[in-house]
Amino acid sequence: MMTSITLRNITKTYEGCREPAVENFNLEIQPGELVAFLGPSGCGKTTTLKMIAGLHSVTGGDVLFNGVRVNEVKPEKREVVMVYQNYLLFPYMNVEENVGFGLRMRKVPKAEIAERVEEILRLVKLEGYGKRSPAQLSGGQKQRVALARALVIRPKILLLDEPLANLDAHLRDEMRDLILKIHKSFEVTTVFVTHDQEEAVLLADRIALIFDGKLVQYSPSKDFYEKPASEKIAKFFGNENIIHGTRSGSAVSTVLGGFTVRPDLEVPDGEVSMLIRPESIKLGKTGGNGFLFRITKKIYMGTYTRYAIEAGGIELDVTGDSHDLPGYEEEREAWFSFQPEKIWLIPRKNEAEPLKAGSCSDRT
Amino acid sequence: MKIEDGKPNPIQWMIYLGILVGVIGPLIPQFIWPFAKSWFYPDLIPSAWGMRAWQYIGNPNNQVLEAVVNSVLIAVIVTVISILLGVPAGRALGMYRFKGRELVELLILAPSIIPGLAVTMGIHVMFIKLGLADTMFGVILVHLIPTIPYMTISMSGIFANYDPDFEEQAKSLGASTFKTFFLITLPAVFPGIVTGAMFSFLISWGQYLLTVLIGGGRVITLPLLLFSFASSRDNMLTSALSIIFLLPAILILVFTSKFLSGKSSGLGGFGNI
Repeated sequence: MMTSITLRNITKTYEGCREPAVENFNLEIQPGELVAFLGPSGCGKTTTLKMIAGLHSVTGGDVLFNGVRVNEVKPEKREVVMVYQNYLLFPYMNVEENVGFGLRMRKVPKAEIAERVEEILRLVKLEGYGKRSPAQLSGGQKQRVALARALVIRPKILLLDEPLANLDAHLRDEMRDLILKIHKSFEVTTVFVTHDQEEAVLLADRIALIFDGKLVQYSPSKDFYEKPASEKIAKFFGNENIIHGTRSGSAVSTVLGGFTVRPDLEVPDGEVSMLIRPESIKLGKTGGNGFLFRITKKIYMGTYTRYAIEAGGIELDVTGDSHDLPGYEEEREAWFSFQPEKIWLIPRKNEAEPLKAGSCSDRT
Repeated sequence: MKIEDGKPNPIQWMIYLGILVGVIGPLIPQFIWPFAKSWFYPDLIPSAWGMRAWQYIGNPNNQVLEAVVNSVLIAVIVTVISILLGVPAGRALGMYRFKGRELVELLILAPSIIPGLAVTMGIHVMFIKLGLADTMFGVILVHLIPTIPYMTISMSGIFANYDPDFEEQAKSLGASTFKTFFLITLPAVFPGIVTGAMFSFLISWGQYLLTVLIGGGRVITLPLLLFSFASSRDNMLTSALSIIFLLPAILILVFTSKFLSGKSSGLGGFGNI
């Protein structure tokens, strides 16, 4: 049976810290889901992971597995395994002994341990490495041993702390595929921590975005691009195309003039931020929402062309196709149009304060 | 660090030889004296040989055996207590940041900065009141003054390089607190404990001043006998006792080099892996 995780009003305040590292955290993770905790370093994501593992106690709130409160359950009894960023292979044990560690703790018969260890080593493509010492392994191999060691006990929940952070680019792809494969075949509810939004998007079913110990948005990764909850979130996901304006129904008035937007967006009339992704701005004056901009920079990228455009003090990024349109050159004025259905609105009151570094938090 | 193969060059050979002569040279007469009957200047070797010194040592009436037993007993107990107190204290100092940490560190170091004689007189007065003076228990307590700081400071160095996440990892894989300690923590710091313990043993083993002041001459240990023989200029007995006195140091030296060679990474705990 797969396990769901519920975090209810979780708060963690470290001893000697005034500010909580994690505050009022509410989260529901479905059985068998693959969720990313995403945020800048020191935002409390590893702390939250350790609270799920039971390695850190909660200051307030409840942790529930399948609806059952586990606050008082010791980490060794939770059937939750954490894989650390730096692998933490026990140096006095060889690969086999490392992988079999959890099984030995569960008093599994020796013959079965040997069999299961061999099987899992085959899965992570490390057959024949059993007798090696951790010092003889490369970073990617260590990571795979750490994963095997966690999976061999068939945990209910798998927690990965920055699983790709210490790997080279080409190993990252390999490891990412392995994690996806493992997650599918073991049907294990998986949570991983990362500071890299690209990594989160590539791997996770859903992303929990955490700023300063608070959950700011929890949704499928696509929504972070198309429907961010605040300007800060949009910027974290690399979208700087923001125009401030005042909304009234399907019209938003800005310094550039009136924009038409979808009338069904659930944002009250008044002060709003308009968000539009660089690829949703079209060259030319097609339909409505066309405005005249000055092109400040044009970069040919091969399959597409990037434009930096400016009008009325507003600077935007545009990703156009590489078919040159006449007149779309640097320092020239040209028309750009905004598809109404691709414009996303955020009420201005949602504006969060700027990112501040975690003042007193976990080591990560 | 990689140790390179190859032979030392002539200059290095000279240095090795110099060190060897400097260390071994003074020991040679010491190994000759106990077997001498008479040996006078300017003879290069004794004019007559004899076993008087060893006969004296072997005679149960002469306190030598008692002193050896006392010395071993005291040093072993002192070492065990130093481990039991020094390891947790070293862990706290090396791994945790807490209020007043610097003060604790200073206070632990204090006994090795302040001259022993200065404090021991005060302790002696207190021990007389408590009935601890002139007892073996009192001597053990006072030997702990230099050994606990030593153990604590060296363990704090070991723990400073130790990654407690290994313990979390073990727990998360299903190890109980007990098993985590024996399978994860202990192997990582064990070489450090061994080194610290051996030095604690030697510090206690060689202690003269503290023993004579607190033991008041009632608790006889090897250094006490050695001192009295040395001051009575009995070269044969002094040298014979010195050999016994040297024995643990030599054993420890051999053991350390066997046990710790190639495992020096263990000295830094898991941190060096």
